[in-house]
Amino acid sequence: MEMLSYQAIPLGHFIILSAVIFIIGVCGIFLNRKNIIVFLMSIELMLISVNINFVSFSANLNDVVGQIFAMFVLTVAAAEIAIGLAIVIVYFRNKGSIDVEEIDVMKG
Amino acid sequence: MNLLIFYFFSTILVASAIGVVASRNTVHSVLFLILSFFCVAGIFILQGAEFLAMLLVIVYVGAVAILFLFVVMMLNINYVVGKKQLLKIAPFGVLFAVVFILEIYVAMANRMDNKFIAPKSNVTMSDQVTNTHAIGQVLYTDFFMHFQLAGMVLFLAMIGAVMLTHQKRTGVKKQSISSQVNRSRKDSIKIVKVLTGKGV
Amino acid sequence: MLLVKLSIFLPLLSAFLSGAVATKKNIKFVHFLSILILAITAILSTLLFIDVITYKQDVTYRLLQWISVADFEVDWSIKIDSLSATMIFVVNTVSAIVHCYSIGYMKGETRVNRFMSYISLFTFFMLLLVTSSNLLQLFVGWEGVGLCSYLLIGFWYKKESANKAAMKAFVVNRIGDFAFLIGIVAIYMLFGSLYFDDIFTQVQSYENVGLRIFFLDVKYIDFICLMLFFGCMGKSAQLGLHTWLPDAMEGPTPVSALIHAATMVTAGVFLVVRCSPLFEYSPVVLQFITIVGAVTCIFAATIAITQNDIKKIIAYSTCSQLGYMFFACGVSAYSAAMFHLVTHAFFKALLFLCAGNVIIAMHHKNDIRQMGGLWKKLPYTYMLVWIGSLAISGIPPFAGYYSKDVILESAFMSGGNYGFLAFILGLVTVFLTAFYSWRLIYMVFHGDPKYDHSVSRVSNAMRLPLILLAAGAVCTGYIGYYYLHVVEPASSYWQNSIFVMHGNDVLEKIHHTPPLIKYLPLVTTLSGIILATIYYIYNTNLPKMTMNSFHGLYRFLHGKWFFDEFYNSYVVKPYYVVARFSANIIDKKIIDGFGPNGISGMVNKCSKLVGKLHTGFVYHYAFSYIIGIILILSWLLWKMSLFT
Repeated sequence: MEMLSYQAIPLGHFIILSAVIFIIGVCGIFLNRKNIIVFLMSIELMLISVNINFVSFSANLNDVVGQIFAMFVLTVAAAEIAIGLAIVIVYFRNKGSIDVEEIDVMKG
Repeated sequence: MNLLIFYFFSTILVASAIGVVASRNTVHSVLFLILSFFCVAGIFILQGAEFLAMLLVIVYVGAVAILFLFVVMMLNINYVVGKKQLLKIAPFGVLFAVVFILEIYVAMANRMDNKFIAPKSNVTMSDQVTNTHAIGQVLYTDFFMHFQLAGMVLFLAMIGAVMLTHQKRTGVKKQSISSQVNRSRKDSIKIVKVLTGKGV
Repeated sequence: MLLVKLSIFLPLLSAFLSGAVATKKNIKFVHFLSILILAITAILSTLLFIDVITYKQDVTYRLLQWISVADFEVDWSIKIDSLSATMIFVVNTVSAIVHCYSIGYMKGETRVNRFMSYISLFTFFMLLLVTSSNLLQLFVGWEGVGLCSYLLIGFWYKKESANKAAMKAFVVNRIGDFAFLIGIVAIYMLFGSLYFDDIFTQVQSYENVGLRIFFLDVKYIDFICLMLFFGCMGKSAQLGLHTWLPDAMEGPTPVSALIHAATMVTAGVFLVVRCSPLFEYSPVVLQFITIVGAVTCIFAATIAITQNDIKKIIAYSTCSQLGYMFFACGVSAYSAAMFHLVTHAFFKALLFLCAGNVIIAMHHKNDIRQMGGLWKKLPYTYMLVWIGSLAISGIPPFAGYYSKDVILESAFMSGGNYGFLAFILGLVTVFLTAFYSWRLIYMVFHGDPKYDHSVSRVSNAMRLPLILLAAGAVCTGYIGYYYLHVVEPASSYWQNSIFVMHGNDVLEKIHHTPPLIKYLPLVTTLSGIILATIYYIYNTNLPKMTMNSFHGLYRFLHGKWFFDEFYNSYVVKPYYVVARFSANIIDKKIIDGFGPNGISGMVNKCSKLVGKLHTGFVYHYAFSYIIGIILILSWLLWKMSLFT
């Protein structure tokens, strides 16, 4: 079978995709009225979008450094989620609920 | 062909991202997140970064998302109906989203392709070496320090997580080695003169 | 020079000692020291007086530089001539006597050192006033005595009426001072200098300079003199600005003696006499002074005959005698006015201090209707009151005879209509003066006792100094008239300190008075005494009958011609409205509203507004990050002109 011709996907598509995911993550931060978990998940979405950006640039420029950096981002994201969830758990222990509307201790 | 696959993956990705944010049930949100992770892994494979894609699946899906699920199950999360206040701020959000995307598009449209500044390594993504090989060539040589630091970060996260959620439980019998060793005769023995027929 | 400095500044030292150094333990010692200092000062000033009279000095000593701004130069300097030497002598003597008397009077009072400090300070300010060689220093002394009188009248500050009286004295004085200040400014603008020597030499050249005030054209000199006289009206309690004098009796009696009999109220007369060169060139104002003086004279006397408070009678008597002095100035008999000032100082201080004796004896009660028959209990005081009353009525050879008669004769012989009017009013006042003085004597010392408590003993400290005053009341007139030739026009006593224009020399004319006029005052006085005797010794129902038949007139006189009520409704109340408007609306709402309060309120509001940004919700903060990022991105793109 003839190999399908390899057409590189234009870089712009990836960048737009990354931007869209990022924006969805951002909107998730302030459009959620539910709880903190969604907040943390939106942060994950943002990190993912950045990863897409890195990898697509690395593919475009033929340089593997982008992927290295994407790996580091991955590492940091994992660490941050661990700590973030630990904090949420402790907060829940103290407060009894993780409703976003009630986290206004810093008001004023 | 590539384009089709890309569109497929990216559509599902965007849809599941919106699902993460907008779904009412938190567990559904986590599941949508897992789906989006898988799609991203697919995109990575499309790019030729298969090591990273697998890494994503193992770390993100296997650890982070499971962690999310654990916490969601552990905490008492109510099934919340979206409040009215959402409507006040939603238009602004959409507006800013649109503005942002437009700007990114503008920036993209006018980019100059030959002016990228990045640390260049001599290792390229080519068909001769696997992606794993390529990453390995760079990671332990040029980026060795970064690698160590990443290890430190993870270590710190581990300690931090344990420290934060540690609870002092009362009523649990524990050994305190130091006090066991430092026990003195004074604390443990008491000599009493016992008179016959009287008892202690 | 040293003598001069000591005479003037020793009272200041005494004030400082009493005020700053006295403690509970050494208070008696400090009092003694203070009296000693004042006594030394009195002796020194007597020596100075004799010195000046013998050697006819007229010197100005410059002490310190004070103001020197562009062309305006005023220094602290002392002018010693017969006028100031006379005043120094009077002030210091009376002050020393009052200091000594206060020990006895204020026994048992708290914080007497404050009192002593104030009266020493007052003496100092008065001395500053009379020895100044320029108007600004005089004004300093003027204000200083006003201040001290406020402090002293309000000495018993826990009494509300005393506080009010002190405020009244100060405020009414202030009205006069305002006019005085305008006068000083006008003098500076016309003459270019505030020194008396400079002014008096230049007066003639500026005689006909005109001044336009609002829509009137007046002579400049007239305006100046009028303003200066308004100042005198305030300080010397002439008609219109007299309301503070009877209320000033709220202060302790030594205060009344010092301030209101001998020194402060005579500051006005002193000013007119000192500025006699100025006043001589302004016949209009002199006529005005004559009228005001004469009317005050009779006005105060008519009130005095109905008063029942022993101190108020004597206060109105002072007011009346001051009227005499002023209308003497008005008819250009300045020497006579000064002579009467000196004799009046002695016998009025004597009368006040004797009244103080009576008040102490009566346990601080002032009403003469509750006294009577005291001549057995206070024989000493009784004798002294007789001496004082004889002096004030003008019975020869006591002091008042010489000074008062000269004034009345000058008024008659001055030739103008106003002088004649002043003579008539002065004559009636002589009658009234005798009447109320003897009324006082009879009601206080004669008759049946109307009190039922024991009479306190009067201490020696309160008796002995009065001998000196009595001696003064007796001898001053005689000595002044015959030995010092105080009122002789050709005498060299006053030298250049008093100036009288040619043709105005009324003291020359009085040598030619018809004999009827010469003896009329004496006859009037005697008839006044006789009438008082009838009323209060022979037929004690007469006063009540007169009161009832002239009930309206009695109420009018007893109510002080309702001046206070008139002022209260027509001057004070409208002023309150203005002041309240100013304070509440202009000051509080407008100025404060736009100024400090407004700005601070605004800052408060703005910070509250900004504080609302802190909602406490983290996603709000995150949202603001996002907005910031988008803005920066837009700016960046715009800068790189990627939008075009």
